[in-house]
Amino acid sequence: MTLNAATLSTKLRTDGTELRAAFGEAAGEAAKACTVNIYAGSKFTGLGTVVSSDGIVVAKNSEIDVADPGTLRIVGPGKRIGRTRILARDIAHDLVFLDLGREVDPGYEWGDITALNHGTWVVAGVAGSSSGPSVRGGVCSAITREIEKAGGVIGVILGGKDGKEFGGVEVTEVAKEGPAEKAGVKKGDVIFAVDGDEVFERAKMIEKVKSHDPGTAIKVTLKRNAKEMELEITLGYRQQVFSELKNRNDRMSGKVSVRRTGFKRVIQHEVSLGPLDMGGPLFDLEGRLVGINIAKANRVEFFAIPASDIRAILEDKAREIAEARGE
Amino acid sequence: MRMPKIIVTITALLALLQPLHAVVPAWEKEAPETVADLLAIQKQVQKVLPKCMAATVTLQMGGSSGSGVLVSKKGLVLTAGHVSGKPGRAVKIILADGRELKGKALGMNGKTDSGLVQITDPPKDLPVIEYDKSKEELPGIGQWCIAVGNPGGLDKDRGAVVRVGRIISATKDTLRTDCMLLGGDSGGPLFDFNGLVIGIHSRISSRPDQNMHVAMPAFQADWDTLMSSKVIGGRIGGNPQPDRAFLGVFTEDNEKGALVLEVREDSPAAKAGIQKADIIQKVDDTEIKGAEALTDEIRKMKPKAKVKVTLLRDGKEKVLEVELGAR
Repeated sequence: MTLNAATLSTKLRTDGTELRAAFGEAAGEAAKACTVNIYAGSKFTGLGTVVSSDGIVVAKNSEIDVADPGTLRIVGPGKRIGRTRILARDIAHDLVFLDLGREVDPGYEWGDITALNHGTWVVAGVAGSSSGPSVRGGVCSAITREIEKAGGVIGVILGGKDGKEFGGVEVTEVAKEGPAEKAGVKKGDVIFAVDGDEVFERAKMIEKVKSHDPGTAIKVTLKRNAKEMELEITLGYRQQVFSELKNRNDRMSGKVSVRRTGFKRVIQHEVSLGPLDMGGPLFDLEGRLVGINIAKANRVEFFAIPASDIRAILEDKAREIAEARGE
Repeated sequence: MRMPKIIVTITALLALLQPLHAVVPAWEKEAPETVADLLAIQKQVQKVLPKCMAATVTLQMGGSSGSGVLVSKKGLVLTAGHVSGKPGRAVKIILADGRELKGKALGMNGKTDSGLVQITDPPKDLPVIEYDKSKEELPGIGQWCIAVGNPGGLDKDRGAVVRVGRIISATKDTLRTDCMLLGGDSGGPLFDFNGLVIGIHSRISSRPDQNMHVAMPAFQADWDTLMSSKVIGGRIGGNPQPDRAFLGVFTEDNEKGALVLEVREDSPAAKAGIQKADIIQKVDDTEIKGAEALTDEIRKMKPKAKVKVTLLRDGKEKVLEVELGAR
């Protein structure tokens, strides 16, 4: 080793420019050919990956879920900008399929994950500079598995009294700008029913709420100063609602993906990506597509949906996509 | 001209005796240059990884969780001092294969963050691994290494998490690498490419390149004291570096010094008037060459110390008096 400096130069680190050149040899061309940038108006909202030669692009649905899909634009291979439209969504997998609007050579072959083990290098396409997408590498770090859905939260702390005698569960704190506050829940309210079912114990109430997905609505019945009322609350993601109470690991991780749970099967790797790199491609050292990056869980753990699962989902959605294209 | 036969034979024999041109393994190059280099690194990682993972354990003490590594058939576990905590404290050791064993904390060093745990009744087939016993020698800058641990705590479906990276800096107490760590990894092992333990994960900061590990010479220096369940330096189970001065800026390297990216609210820096975009050039008489140099310099000081900070603001030099706080 010729290095004598007191610290390793940044260009020689695992995410440094010298290493990127080696990873580039593996998958640089493929990444350039298939990685697209998606914009909502002028705001960059994430990456997408071309998954078929007739121009279907896959991206992370919860990132692309904008109020006005009419503003969505794609900057595709060769930096061509064009309007795009949503062809299909797969909420369960958090995927959305967009139309590139033209034919293109995706630039890769489909790979499979059976050769991916702990320590196997993978290369991710990342939101690059103005010269186009670039790549970063890292190893597969953990067992491929399901990531169970973390339930929705309403944004209250139930730290006080509860029980049948008390008549419900006391709300001791309401998270600022959380779903409960938006619905009108106040500190001191005593909740005694969820969706019409009586609940008097704190643990049972938490379980009931958790069983709903973020984004769904529940009705809570509560007592406030001897008055009874029913409020509708739309559940949020834990990370968005309790940002002040973020645990230390989340604070140390910087920006993470809002939806980072609820995936049937993921490859886990350590390529240092940001939430906006999700929807981008993951390759093996031979430049074959092995996954689509779907979530940054924290600074150590990154998830990708295996390529074979993407293919299967594409087939499931083929009819829907064809109809959306007017075929 | 035809050479006499005898000279040809001697020349041929001499050629055979020449040492083969030394081939540097890919992981000893300044940086991997090709896919073949990356593959060679991967092959070596996957050769040693099974033993490394088998020896990595989860440690649970009360409500907190950390990692450790099994280094002797007699049941000795290397870990971080802030994980094992007070000598005699009960520790649950969970092996990679799921077996749960009982043990207790031995000694710890609160400054270096070294710690030892002893398994009460070690099974005969305990999967142990060798650790570096050098008292002086350190891994080289740029040396490749493997980090194993349990970020976020035990996850049976996920197993331990593997990272591959390089040594960024090394002192007799602390190694810094680009292997990302997170809460739960503490106490877990850092290995070299021969599968030897060269470090124990200790701490991180929110900067992604700050991943610190206790260096093996630190363990060696205190070995007998740790084995006899004594505590060296610092509070038991608390902050591993007590009595350290605190300034309250988040900086990055700049050719003129340390560029201030953020000033912590209510920090000594804020109170003294240090602002975002200031470039810190000197602390008292010491020139500051970059972000790390600033951190190192402040680290040498005691809380309440008054220092003169020389900085550049809008191209003009300014000197501010700062009273450092306590971390």
